[in-house]
Amino acid sequence: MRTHYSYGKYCTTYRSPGPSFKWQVKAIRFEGGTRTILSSVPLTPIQYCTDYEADSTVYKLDSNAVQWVRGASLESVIGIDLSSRTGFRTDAKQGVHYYSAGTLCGTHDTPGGSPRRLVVRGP
Amino acid sequence: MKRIGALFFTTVLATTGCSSEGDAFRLNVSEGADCGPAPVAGASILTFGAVGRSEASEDIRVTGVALADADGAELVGAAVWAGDHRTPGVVTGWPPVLDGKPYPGWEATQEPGDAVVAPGERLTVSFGVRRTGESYGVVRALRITYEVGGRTAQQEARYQWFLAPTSCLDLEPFQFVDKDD
Repeated sequence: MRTHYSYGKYCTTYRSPGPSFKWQVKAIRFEGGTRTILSSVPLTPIQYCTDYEADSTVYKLDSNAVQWVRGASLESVIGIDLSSRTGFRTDAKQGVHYYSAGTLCGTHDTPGGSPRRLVVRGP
Repeated sequence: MKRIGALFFTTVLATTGCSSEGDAFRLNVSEGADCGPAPVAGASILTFGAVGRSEASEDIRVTGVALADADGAELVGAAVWAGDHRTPGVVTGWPPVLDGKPYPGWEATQEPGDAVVAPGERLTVSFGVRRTGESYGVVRALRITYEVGGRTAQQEARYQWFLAPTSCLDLEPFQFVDKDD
């Protein structure tokens, strides 16, 4: 999902003893609007897969999800793109409910650990 | 096209918990829950699992698996996988059955007492649980007893494994709040 934020480039000047400058780029506000970005299904090693019965549910309440290397596209403005990290906070819950039996796989660990990306597969 | 039949959803919930710590191995269970259907009290059995990796410099011998914190559920059996395997998350029966057949690779499991995990090897504890009460059965912690380097130690893996009398979709969020809160 691609979202739109305004970023500002800030310069802080210090004068002790001489002038020095510190530059920062920070998000200012969410501008609204989202766009779905298509992505290929990632590879998931078989040892990171667990099987679930029909009518079973798995919930995750924490762990980091994935870091996007070019999460904030600012190269044309400041010369580099910024990374962004998505994750689950302890006050959020992600769930998968299986209406028929299936397999849940992580790209970097089992679903119960720190899988980063979760992929739902058929039995 | 075959329907996978899964629903992703995200909600907001306040809860706490803790993951296991151990000097010989760490079961990699983060905060969360698995829930499976167990419609018949006293008869319905589900197999769950917890995965980790040995951090010991010598072999670990898993000598016992027990439910450390559970309500309305009793342990039927336990087994240890050493190495990389696809493993049961929530699967019917003990030993687990998948598509009417024994779970793939089950013959590679070891019984507690004889289960040896080499240094650096992946470790999965699968355990079968029977729902015993009228409502949900829940296991909040699994206790693993093991021997390493001539000493005996224990570790608790805290997670939430539910056995649902009807559908897991009926599970209310408040049931995820740790009872120690």
